[in-house]
Amino acid sequence: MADTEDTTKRKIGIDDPIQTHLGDKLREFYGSILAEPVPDRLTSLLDQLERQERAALTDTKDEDRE
Amino acid sequence: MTEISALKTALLAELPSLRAFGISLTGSPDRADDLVQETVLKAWAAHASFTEGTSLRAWLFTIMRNTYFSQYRKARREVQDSDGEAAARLISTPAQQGHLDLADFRSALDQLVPDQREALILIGASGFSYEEAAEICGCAVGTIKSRVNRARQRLMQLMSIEGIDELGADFADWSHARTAAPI
Repeated sequence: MADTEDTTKRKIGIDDPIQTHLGDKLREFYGSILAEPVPDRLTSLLDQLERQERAALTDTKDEDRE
Repeated sequence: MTEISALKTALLAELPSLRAFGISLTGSPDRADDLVQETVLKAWAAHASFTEGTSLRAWLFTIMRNTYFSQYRKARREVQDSDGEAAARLISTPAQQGHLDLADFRSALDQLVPDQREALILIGASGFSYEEAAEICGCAVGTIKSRVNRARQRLMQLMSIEGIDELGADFADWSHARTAAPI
């Protein structure tokens, strides 16, 4: 990562393996959430929004015809 | 018709990322899912304002963040401690057996100042550029950089004591094993 300011200030040696370890942990933590199944209520919300939008489109077309 | 399907597919693909960012904002999987739901509703209603060719994820994260700060921040402050612990347990149990140190990491992450945690997640985990993160947070690129740096320093402080203990224990085990082993 482009944190050059920080790198110059840091003591050479011990910090870097720790930072690498923390970076790995951060990605592991985030990855564990990404890997969780998405709750049904969220996927079904999108199904519902899609249905509503299609229904609204159909209504608009009907009105245009009248 | 196809535009609706494309929007739905694109949003479906972003749900895991939205949950992950939501959990890092709220500290609670349940509240994160509420936040994702609101974000999806707002994004759907406002999708005409999305600029094609820009990052959909950044746009969604911006909506989520604005929603969170207008509604959830106060609630988090009230229940932060108990909720943070519950979230740490939820995330660290069944899927993470054998990764107990991830729970320690999560607990250190929870102790960061929210602004710093958010910047660290956006840059270190979500893969955004400093420029994108600055846009999402509505602040200067330099602010994001300094928040990330401070978050890293703080995390290191929070984790290093345990880290040294762990290294010490590993080293003790290792030397014990070495001396005990028949040569």
